[in-house]
Amino acid sequence: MSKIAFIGDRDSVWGFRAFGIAAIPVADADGARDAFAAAVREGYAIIFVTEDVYEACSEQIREYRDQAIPTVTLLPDVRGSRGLAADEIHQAVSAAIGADILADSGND
Amino acid sequence: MRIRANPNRMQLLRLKRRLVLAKRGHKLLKDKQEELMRRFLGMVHQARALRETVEAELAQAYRAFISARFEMDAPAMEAALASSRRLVELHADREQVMNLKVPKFTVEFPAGAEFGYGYLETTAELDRALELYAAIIPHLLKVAEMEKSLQLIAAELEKTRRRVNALEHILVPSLEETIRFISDRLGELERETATRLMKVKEIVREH
Repeated sequence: MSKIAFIGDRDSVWGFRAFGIAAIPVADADGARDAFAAAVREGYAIIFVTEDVYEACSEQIREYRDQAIPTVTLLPDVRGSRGLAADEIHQAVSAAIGADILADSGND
Repeated sequence: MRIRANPNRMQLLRLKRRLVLAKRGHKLLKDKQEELMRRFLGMVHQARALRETVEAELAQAYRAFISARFEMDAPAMEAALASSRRLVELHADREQVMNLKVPKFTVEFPAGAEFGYGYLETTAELDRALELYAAIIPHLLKVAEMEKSLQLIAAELEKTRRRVNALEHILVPSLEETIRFISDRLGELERETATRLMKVKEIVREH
């Protein structure tokens, strides 16, 4: 069973409904946490989250960091990207290498 | 840092065996670290570039969708989206990278599927927005796959690096030091025995 979910504000997720992607609109942080827990229970292989949802659920999401599935991925919402996902890549690099090799090119 | 061990031949042999094992483990882990690092560095720049393009594409698609949304009321929109038959099919596999399992996603669009909603109730804007969405969905999956792989490899690299360091800077030096200590000690004992024997011989000859 391989399904995709997208949790976020309604305008961001809505259009994806046309492709059979489970668009789960949430209005606040509590709703996001519940929706995320439910999405994991239902066994979605990929859970896209907006940056707001990511911040609300960061503890829950961390639990699934070491697993291939579910894969939780950040997407910007309709208001645009705050660059959280780029920060995540940055952090992974620092952790992997033990030094910040992208520091120079990371802020351009 | 010396390991506490009795300075005898038995311990010496045992420690030497441990040293050989530790060095072999160190070499293997070092190789693993190098291979992981090679893959990781190969992916990082690709992932960053991909993330940038996808965010730009998504912003464009969102804009198109919002302008479509202004022209339709919510129930009509909901009905149009719900009646779409262009459902993506996701295949989620796992790919083996060293001892890690990283996700591998592929999507299929049903061949030649139309959105399947009525043309009368929907607008051209919605069509255009959804075409944009359709085009970026494969990219979104690629982002998910790459970023997850990066995270997993990064975590593994960190763990491996810690192990390599522990072997290199703690276990191997302390084994070597202990081995040196024991063989010095054994040499000393041997010389002591030799001189003692010579002394005894001398005493015996004098009588």
